Amino acid sequence: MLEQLDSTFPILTCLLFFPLVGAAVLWLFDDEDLVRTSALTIALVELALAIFVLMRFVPGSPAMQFVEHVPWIPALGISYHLAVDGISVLFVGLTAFLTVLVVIYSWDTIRYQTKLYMMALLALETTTMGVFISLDLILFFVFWELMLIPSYFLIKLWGGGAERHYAALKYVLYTLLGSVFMLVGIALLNINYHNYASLHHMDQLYSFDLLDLLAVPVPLHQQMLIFWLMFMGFAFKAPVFPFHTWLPDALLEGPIGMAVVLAGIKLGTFGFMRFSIPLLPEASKSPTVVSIMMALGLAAIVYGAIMALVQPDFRRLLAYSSISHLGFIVIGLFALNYQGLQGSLLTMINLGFTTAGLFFIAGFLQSRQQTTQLTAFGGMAKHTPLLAAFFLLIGLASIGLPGTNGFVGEFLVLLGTFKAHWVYGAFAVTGVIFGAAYFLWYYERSMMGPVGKAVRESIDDLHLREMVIAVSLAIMILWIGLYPAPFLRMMNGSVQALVNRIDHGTVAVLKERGREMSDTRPAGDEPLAARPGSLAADSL
Amino acid sequence: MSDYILLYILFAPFAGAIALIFASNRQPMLVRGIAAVSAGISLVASLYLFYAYDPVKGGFQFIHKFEWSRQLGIALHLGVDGIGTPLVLASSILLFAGIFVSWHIKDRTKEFYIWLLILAAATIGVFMSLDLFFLYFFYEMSVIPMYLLLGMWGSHTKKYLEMTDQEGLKQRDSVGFIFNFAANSKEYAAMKLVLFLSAWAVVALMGILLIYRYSGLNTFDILQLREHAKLMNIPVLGTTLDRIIWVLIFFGFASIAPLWPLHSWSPVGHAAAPAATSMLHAGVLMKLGHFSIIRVAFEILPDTTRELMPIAAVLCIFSIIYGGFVAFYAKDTKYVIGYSSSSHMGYVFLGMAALNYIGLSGAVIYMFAHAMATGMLFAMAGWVYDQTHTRDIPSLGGLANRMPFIAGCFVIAWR
Repeated sequence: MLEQLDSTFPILTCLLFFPLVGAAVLWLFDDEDLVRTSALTIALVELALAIFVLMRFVPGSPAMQFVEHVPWIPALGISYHLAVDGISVLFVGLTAFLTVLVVIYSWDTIRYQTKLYMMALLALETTTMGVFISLDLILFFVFWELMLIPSYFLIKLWGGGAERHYAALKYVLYTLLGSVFMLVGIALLNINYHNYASLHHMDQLYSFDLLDLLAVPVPLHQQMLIFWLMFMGFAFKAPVFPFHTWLPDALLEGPIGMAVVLAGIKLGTFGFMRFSIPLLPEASKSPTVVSIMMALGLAAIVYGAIMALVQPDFRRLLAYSSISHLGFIVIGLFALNYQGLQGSLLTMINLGFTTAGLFFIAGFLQSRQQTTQLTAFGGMAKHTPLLAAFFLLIGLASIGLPGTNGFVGEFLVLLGTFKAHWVYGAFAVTGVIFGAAYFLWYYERSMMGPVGKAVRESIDDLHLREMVIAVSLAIMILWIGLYPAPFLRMMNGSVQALVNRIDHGTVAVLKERGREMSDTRPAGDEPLAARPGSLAADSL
Repeated sequence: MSDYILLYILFAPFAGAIALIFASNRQPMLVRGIAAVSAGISLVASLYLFYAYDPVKGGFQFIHKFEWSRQLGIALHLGVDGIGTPLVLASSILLFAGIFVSWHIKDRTKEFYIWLLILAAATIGVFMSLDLFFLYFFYEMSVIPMYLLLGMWGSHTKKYLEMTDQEGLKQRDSVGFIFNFAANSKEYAAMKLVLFLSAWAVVALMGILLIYRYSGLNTFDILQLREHAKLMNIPVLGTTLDRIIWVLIFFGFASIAPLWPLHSWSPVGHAAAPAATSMLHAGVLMKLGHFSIIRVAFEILPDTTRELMPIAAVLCIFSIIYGGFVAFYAKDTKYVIGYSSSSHMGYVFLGMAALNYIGLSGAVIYMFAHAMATGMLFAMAGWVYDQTHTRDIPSLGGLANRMPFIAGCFVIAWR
């Protein structure tokens, strides 16, 4: 019944644990150069594995692929269930890609405890991968929480700012606070499953498995409760507008590598897309939730952009701009239609190249002037033309110049939002204008014009390692910008299934299940449902 | 050859820009050469296009369609009609000329030509697009390079960078910078231009998205939407909605034209821009507005156009008179040309507002003629500035004695 493409080789387990094993192996080495080289090798092998998954992934299919399912705690219905679909597969690639770049970046910018740093980074990669590929909610939650440990140490030990201890603690506490609520939500889902299962005499009485949970209906009032509980978890992590205060601190005080991962990999909004919306479709599309989420998203867009406009510090500017971009993702998600969901998924991926790329640029600036304050710059383009050129390219991508990836994502989100309601769309477009204002203004003052007093004549342009980072980001930016079809094709099966799920809700699941049991093929009566394998319950 | 003619015209400048990335600023002649060759290919191809376009047959010719996203109904759909063809030609002429006008640029030559080529190619892209997505794509793409062209290679009108406010804070470091209308720095001009144009472009985008949403065809294809409009007769999408969309599209695109209340970025931008950029800007970029209005509002919402265009004509008349008066009193060569352009653009609007064959063909001819004339004027202004380092008209008195050729050209260009 499930069109699950089993692979004989447990590729996802390898993908998941390879960096962790690599981190353990790093422990044995003492020589710093050896540590760096092996960390890079591990990250590259991981990237190769991720690319292999991306190549073998069947695009356009809504099915879960590369499934690995082993019972873990059968009594509670907890299992070790890994799989990727169109929603998560690109994040797998993105995580591996960014980790390679961070390792390259950290080559000479991390001066002490290099070994521990690399180990923490690789451990962080494992936990991030785990969040993306787990289908079991408990497994997901384990990785979600484990992620805090390497993050905490990365910010606390290698952060550049004076307030790094505070920032690390703030980040951990905020995320934990959110996750507690989320855990309650997960428990409630399990209880709901249990009630349903005992009522219908199903074989399995408990389950935390996403696919199982999708197959049972959840009463609406309970959906609302669970939605807001899950919301707390994801909103703190994302961070959605009023829960964002930890982000500027963590991004500013932590090391650049951590900032890249935090700003580039959008775990919170991924959580909405993976769990909240498909598990709780009726709640997600209820007018209250939609209008609250839209309001939060629009507030984030405007607030983030205005705050970014007045920041003299580039990293702080980036932190606020990433809050603003997150608003775009949120309104795309809660437009709840094909274009909106696809657009916000693509935007999440895009930000992994643009915002993360700008953090790398901030790192390049910092390693030259020891600060990202505006006063240290001015007319940099004269002495560092390459840095200025890549800064411009990545920045223009982040404000959505046509031909770069930012434009495609933004356009799809706006299209989806306009389809949902034109009022939301009308507010959302202001973000586009603000975005151009804050980026161009900062760029003009730091890179153009007369050379600043603090800028030395002998300032270096990009060296080889930095060029590798900048060029690989530029390739991705232009690739998605000019020819996004392969990326969109990868996600469209799953996004379509998600849209069907939203349209039909959990009640439809029952009907479909009934039909399946009588072994008839489900006939799609709507064009949307006519796609092969669009069974909402199975495909998500 | 003739099958792919539009692709040559459109992608030759892009290819030139890409090739320039790998060139070095240490060989300025190579850089100029690459730019000139790519612009030359585009020019020759568009001359051929102008010759090969069959005016008897009319309609859209040389159509190409490349699927971009089937699900969203987006395709790179290129084609030209009798309106697009002369404007494509004008763009490539001005690009080719602009490359020679800016031959003397020594500061970051390579980057200058890259952005100039992208600017011109994006403009050409708009004139060819038969798909609303790509029309907006190229439109937006033509706005952002202006920021860099103005901000890096432009010129100030005052000693702006030393200006401070009462508290001794440098003006360019205060947030009020964006709203500081008194200052005439190139950075200010660039920022104002980009913010104005992207803000209004977004208004047009809203119109486009509303068309997409309410037409129910799930396509951005202008030809399909036009057929739809013909079939549906009046009202296409519902009268009120039609009017809202029309107003969004009209004002969104009219800002670049520039229509009277939305014009204020334009003279400032002209004054700050380097000569070649002003030429492209006044010569063809302004026409993007008229062209897009014809392409989107006239083609897709014909009945609403018939209803609302006469009302908009009032603004056009304001535009003509106001632009003319200000140009009369301006003391800066580029301001004079800038305001006169905005006045002339009002005539184009007026021609369009006549909504008949003569008016519209007059508008198209006027657009082409104005592109040539203004291009020449800005080139002259640039040359005069290079020699005298001033654009202040009173201090340029008796220039014809020293520069008879340029003076003659001025007269020709200004009729």
